[in-house]
Amino acid sequence: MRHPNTNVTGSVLIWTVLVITILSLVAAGLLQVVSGKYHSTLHTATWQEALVAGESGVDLAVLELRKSLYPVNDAWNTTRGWTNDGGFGHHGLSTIPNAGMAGTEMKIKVNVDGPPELLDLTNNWQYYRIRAIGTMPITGPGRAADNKQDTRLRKVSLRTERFAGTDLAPDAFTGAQVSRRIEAIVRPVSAFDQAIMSVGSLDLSNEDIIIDSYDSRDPLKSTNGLYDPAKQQRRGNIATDGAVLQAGHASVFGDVATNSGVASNIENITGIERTDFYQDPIPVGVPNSQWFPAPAPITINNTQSLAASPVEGSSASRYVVNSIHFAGNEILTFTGNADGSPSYIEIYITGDVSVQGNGQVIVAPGVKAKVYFAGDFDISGNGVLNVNNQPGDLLFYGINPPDPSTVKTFNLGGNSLLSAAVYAPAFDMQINNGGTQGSVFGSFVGKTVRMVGVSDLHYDEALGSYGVINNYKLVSWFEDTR
Amino acid sequence: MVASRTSRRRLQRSTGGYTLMELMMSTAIFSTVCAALLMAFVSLKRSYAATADFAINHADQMRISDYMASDFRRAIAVKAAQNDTTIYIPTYYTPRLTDQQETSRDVRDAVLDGNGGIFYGPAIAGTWAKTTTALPACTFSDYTSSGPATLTASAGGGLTLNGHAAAVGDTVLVKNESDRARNGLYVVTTGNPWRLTAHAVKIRYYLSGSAIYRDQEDEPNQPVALATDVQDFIFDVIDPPLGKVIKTTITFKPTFRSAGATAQVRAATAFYNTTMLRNNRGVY
Repeated sequence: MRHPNTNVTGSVLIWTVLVITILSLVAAGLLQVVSGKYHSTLHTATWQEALVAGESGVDLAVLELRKSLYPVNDAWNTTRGWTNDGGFGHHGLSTIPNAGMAGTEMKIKVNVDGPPELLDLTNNWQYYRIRAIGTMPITGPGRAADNKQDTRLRKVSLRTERFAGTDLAPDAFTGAQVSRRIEAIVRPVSAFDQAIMSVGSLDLSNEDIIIDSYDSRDPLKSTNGLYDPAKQQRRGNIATDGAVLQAGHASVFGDVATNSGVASNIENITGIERTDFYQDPIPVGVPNSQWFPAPAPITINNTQSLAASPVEGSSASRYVVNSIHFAGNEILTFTGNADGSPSYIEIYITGDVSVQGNGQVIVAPGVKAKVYFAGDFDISGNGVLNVNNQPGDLLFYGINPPDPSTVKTFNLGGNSLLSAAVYAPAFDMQINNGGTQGSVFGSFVGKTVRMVGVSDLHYDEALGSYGVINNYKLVSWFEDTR
Repeated sequence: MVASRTSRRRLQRSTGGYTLMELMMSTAIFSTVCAALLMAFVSLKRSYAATADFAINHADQMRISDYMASDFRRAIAVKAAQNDTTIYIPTYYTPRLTDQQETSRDVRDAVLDGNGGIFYGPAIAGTWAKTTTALPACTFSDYTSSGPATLTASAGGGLTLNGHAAAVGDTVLVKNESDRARNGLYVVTTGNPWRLTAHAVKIRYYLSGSAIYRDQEDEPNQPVALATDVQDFIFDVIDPPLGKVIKTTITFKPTFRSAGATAQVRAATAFYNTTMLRNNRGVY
């Protein structure tokens, strides 16, 4: 029997197969392109996440370094995964779940050390080296990129971890992964890093104040270590961690910064104006907890001298004072060596300070004084005479009250030329006119800061290397791209 | 009998030809279907080619952006210009020896210069000298796109540091210049009159023809093409006054092989990158 339609049916089948084949080839080609792009994007995204992980490791280390500055030192706590490698070497491993794509883990490994070649011998400040590895798993199949330069750039570890065998190898995942190794170096930042810094409002009144800088260490930026208008510098930076900065027509030879706020009535700025400032000042703790033997407390109501010692930190240089109260002609003198050579004194005032009338505090030549105070502080009268006119010779530290809601005040002024640096982040601070010239030399950090009757403020850049360390700042960053 | 007649008729029809009308109709339908299929195939092919081109260009953009961001992060100086940008990075690693693998190089130790500045010191002892006093009179030139910073003697003669007559190739730490921008790690490049050239690695990105190249001076087989078959590549680097953030705009006009790219499609290929200079020009 014949089947006359067989040929026709067959041709349709061939056409169908042909069409399906062509469509399949097109689909396969498209899939190849999409797949390649998917892998390229996946590698890129994972590579970027690994950098975030590595830099997070640096941030974690800086956070621990900052914790080491607090009065209650909770740095490098083992509960947060830190171990001590001996000396100042700390090692930590953090695993952050669900940080990557498809809910993968982010692994961060950090080493922190302070090698002797990173010790600044001018002030014994230790710079720290932070090395961190961030590792992210690749969620797709382990496959090399289709471009040689992509492979060379991203160095994806498909089978073997590329940093394996080194002293800072990552904790590897079982499959393909990306690791990026960062080495950063941080330096200490002084509490007196700026001319003025306030946690809250900063009010310069309506005094047309001029704020500039000099460097008492550099003869090109000062004369005999003193401010010289002809050598005026432009690092008189002012900043507030708050939103209100009332400049009162100030001319700032430096930068002005607020925390998402507005600097009002600025007459002139030579630097830049920023609104992204943030700094959480380190609290000041009670100093005498480490003073042995503990000095017997004294109360000062009459003219008196306290002798500085040639040896910094010696028990002979330390005093505990209950309070200071002058209402007449009393004078408190910090005496030093007769020849004006360096001598040191530390005073912890547990109560209030009130100097009125013709009362005065004198810092003799060569004396380098640190004054810690816990109570309200008010000096007017004849003020504070810092004979050598070096702000770094007279540092005031306001101790944070146990109850943060307690309001403390710090008022400093008087007839003497004011030359000092004050760090009191829990105190409402008011700096009054600086003697007959209205000039003030130094650096001021307070909860709020207000300047009254001050015509010009000159910041000594040398203060940036003095005093307590308030923070750590990144000064070097590099990624090990080998 | 009736059934036999019917079968005969069917047999007659099956052996008979189509009418002209039937042929024309079937041919027209077949042609229409074929034309539609052909157009669909052509369209698919164009779409495929466009997708492939876009994917390739996008990967090229990501690659260039990532390369540049990686270099910007560790840069100590950037000389930005359209289609030709030079980046200087510290000499983190010991020099690569002939045929040496990249991973076999050592990372140099970071040390302080005495002024709070940091440099990555040479690992080979005896080939460098520290300055303890300010250098003799010299002129200073900042980084330019053609070369790193230099200190050049104002008068003839060699350079003696700490009793050591500096020779070409010696590394010198300059740390006591009153202008701190001059301080840093240098290499003696000319002995008499002496000239010090900043110790840094130069990386250059530039457009040549239809390719963008990266050229790192201490790497073998340089330069390398990061992207090819690029048409009208626009590369812009903005260095704001802060000197800490680099904004890069990379604009491709992809080579669409089928029908050419519309302005909207080209605009969609702009690739932006903002990178903070981590080293903040405080490291040399």
